[in-house]
Amino acid sequence: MGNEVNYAAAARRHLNDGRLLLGQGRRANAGQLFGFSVECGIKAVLIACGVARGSDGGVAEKNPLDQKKGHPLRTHMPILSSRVPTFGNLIPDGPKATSYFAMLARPGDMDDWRVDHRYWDESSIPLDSVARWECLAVEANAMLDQARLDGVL
Amino acid sequence: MNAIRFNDALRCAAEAVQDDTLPSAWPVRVVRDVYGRLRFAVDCDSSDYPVDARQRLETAQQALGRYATDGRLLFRDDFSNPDEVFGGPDWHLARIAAPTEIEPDRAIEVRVLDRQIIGQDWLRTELAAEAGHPPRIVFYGLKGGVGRSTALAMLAYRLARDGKRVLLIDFDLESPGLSGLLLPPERVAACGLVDWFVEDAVGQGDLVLGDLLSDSPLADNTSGSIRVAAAMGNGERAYMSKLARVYADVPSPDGPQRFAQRMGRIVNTLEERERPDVVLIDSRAGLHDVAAVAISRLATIALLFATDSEQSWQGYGQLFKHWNQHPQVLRAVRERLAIVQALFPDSDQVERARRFLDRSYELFSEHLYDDIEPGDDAQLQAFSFQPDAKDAPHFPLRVRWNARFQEFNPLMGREDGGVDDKDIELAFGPFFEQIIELIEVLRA
Repeated sequence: MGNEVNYAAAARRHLNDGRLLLGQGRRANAGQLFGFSVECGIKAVLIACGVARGSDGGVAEKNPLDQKKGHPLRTHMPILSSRVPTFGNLIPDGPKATSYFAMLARPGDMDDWRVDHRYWDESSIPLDSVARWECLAVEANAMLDQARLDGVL
Repeated sequence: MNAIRFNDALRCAAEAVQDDTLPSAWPVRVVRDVYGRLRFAVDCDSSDYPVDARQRLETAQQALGRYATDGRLLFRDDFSNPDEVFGGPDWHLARIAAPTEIEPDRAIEVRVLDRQIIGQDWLRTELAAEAGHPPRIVFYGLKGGVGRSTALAMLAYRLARDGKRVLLIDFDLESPGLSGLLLPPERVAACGLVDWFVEDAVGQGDLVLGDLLSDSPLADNTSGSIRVAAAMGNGERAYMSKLARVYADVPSPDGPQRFAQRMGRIVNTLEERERPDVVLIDSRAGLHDVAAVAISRLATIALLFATDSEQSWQGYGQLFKHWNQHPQVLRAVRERLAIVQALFPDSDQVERARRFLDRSYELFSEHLYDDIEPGDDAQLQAFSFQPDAKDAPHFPLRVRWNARFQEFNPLMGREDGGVDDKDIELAFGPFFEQIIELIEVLRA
């Protein structure tokens, strides 16, 4: 199994770099990074709570209950956060994951974020939402701080 | 070399950070993770910390064996928000006893962050500082079957007879039964506290607030009232499913709402709605989080029910030791404790009372009272009592054993196997008087 993926480190890097961009007024790409930061934060907790890992060390490519299907949690925001409660059966330590995810006040704030924003014209990206995406990224990283103190990361 | 075990690990870590050659500008702290493993944490960036000091700490950390989280120390740059981590409210100054055979009086102090899955609330006392609420009396026992709920019901009745508005909250969620003692089935409210917890988790706790309380007929012929918030509502069909979700953390804009915060919130809400003179809280038995919240965060007075049994003394001993290792918590909690000698038998009363008092004094003086030398100037401010001091927390309130209160129904008349006021006064009279006196002192 490869170890290229380090969700916790990536979550922080995307938050920090997003803030640098935001400080330069580059909201569109800052927002993109905040979304990835949240996604990485959630996936870091999922892996720490026993979700199966794939060949790159990230969430497994295949659904462990049905190898013909892709793993439903190997996806991007906002679908990822909406799937977490639905696919709780794929999270071996569900109660622990629930207690961490309770630190994300409003995951729904990311409903208008799209991974495809990177292809979009800037005028089509909901830039007014960037501040909310940043808040969620900050919460995701605070969640990882707690997990690190808890010894689960 | 012997393997380090849980009991030794924290002391070994605490001893390592006493090293005088470590930089004094950044006192080393200890983080104990959810598995009990330890890591040193320093409130500076890793690049600012001297390399040789860092190596010494890493060596000491590795020496903890399986109780080392890993070889790395924690610095500010390990966290996204280091101010929140290092300035958080859960750091405690822990006092760790040295091995008694070597230096019996030596204790080491170290700042510890104890990360636990459950049990943190035994060390959180901040809610108790909130002013403006009515006296809250928590009824707690290490084990069931010592007459805790009966005493609570009878005190509610006595207070109602005195014209008081009594609010009674049943937090014994795993063993819901107080409503059965105080309410005939037709009077049980539509919803119980578990309903509030599950509805609150999805943001609509207010929906059930109006259906949460009922009047106990025990107060029907009194000038007061007994309003009961039961654990379980009338006609409940899904209690287990609800109970399984009660302790989940709930997201909120102000951070996750832990069970303790939610428990405090429903108590405050019910108090605001009902404006009671006194609140009686039935806590669940044992060393459970519900009891931790009730005693450490909600109680104005926490009544610790006990019988003269090794199980009682050992259990309370463990709890008191836990507080003793955290001096700030100890100081916040100990003044609100009062021990109750439950099921005080009919026979050999003088001898049994003396024996209970001796054990109780031994327990409190060893773990909760300040050590003072005779003639010490600090004596006046010290939290310390003589063995026979009747106002001391260790001096027991007593509830007499009475056969009529075994499996009884307080809603029945004496002719039907219930009790009358004379029976109640005989068993509970002195207990009532002492509690009422305590309430009056608190209200003043």
